[in-house]
Amino acid sequence: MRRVDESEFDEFYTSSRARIIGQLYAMIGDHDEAQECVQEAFVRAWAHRGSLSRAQHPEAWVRTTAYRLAVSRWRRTRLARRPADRAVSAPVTAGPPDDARVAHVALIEALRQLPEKQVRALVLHHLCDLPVAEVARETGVPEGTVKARLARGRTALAALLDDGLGQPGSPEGAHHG
Amino acid sequence: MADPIDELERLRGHTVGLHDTMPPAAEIRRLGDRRRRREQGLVAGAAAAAVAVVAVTGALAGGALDRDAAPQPAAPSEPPPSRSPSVTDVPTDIPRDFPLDLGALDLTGDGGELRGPAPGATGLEELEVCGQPVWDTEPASRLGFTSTGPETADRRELRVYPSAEEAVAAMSRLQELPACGEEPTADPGRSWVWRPYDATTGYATVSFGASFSQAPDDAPPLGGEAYVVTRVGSAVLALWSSGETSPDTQAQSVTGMTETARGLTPRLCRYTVAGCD
Repeated sequence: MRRVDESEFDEFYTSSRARIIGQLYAMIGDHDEAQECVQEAFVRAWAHRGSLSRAQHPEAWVRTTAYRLAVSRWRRTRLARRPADRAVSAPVTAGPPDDARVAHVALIEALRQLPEKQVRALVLHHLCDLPVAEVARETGVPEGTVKARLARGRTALAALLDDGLGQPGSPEGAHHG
Repeated sequence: MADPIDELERLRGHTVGLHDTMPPAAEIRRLGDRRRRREQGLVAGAAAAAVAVVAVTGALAGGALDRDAAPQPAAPSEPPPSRSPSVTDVPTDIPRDFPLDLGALDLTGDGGELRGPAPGATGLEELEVCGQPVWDTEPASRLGFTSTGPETADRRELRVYPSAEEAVAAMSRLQELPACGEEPTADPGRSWVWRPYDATTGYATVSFGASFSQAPDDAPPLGGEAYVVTRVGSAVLALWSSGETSPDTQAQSVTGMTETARGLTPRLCRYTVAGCD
């Protein structure tokens, strides 16, 4: 199969990187970590562009690689017992206007308190607009499992936001990761 | 309170606007080229050592390697020590009728999906263990297969390398398994636990699986994945299954996957120098 050439890769990188960073940020709650993992995923994508060219969805390839890197780094950080360096740091607050920023920060805080597999399903389905079948393919689980994670995630997210536990500074919001 | 999904979908616009300090594409490509050169250099040096390492990894992997391989006459999956097979010794193509879907379920009637076997079909081309990619080098040819159902997923990958050394190097990545142990999840008190399994195919085989640990005062966890990876000469056959398994039922899955591997390995003898006779 023909490999991705330089101009195709450059266009792919330029057009998709911000979107993938945003999606990974929503999954892991740390913008800097998300950016580092996405950068590393693109480096691997170019180094192994044979795999990238075979992938039906190159953006999903990069997103999945970046997510796995983030989980791996998070695990190593946890095992090293360095809570001050943990991958999940305070969410980014720059950018959106004040009202939106409050909701944005509360939502990120709430997402950080959910099980990671539920968060990933929620983000892929509702932020990346992937149908359930695509989420199942990207996460490697049956569709029934995805539906269950979405249902549980929605319920838990609504409860957290209703209770105000997604607000920054709330005791529960500081224990994820 | 607003619908949490509306809130989540509104996040789309906010996250795209976040500050991005990523380097230009040319720098990413430069780093990727450097990475690839380094990996290619390492493969040549590591392959010979990996032959020996894989042979003795059984103890390190807690019995994950095939213990029956040693008594087999002529050790069909190992090349002669002083000779490196080349493309003139063994083929690198995969026959069109290779039955990678041997024994697989067709659940398309229940809303499942069936892909392959085909060179472009999704299989395990992105196999990772403990967050680390297993496949460092591109194979000369590959075949992928995927079968999914409402509760299960079955993916298979056959990779044929230009030489047995490269296949051995690919397998050597699986040695990282003993260090995997438990991965924490965001679910308090619940981990993602990796464990080796015994899988006897008569060839160098690694088998392992992962599932959720039991959380205190909670229902038994369901959800896991299992792997059986076998090398015969310059070919590597990787099988993966996922479903609502528990640690107990996962061992049964591995048994079934091992049977599938045993059914396919005779067809991989063409990728050995000496054959399997």
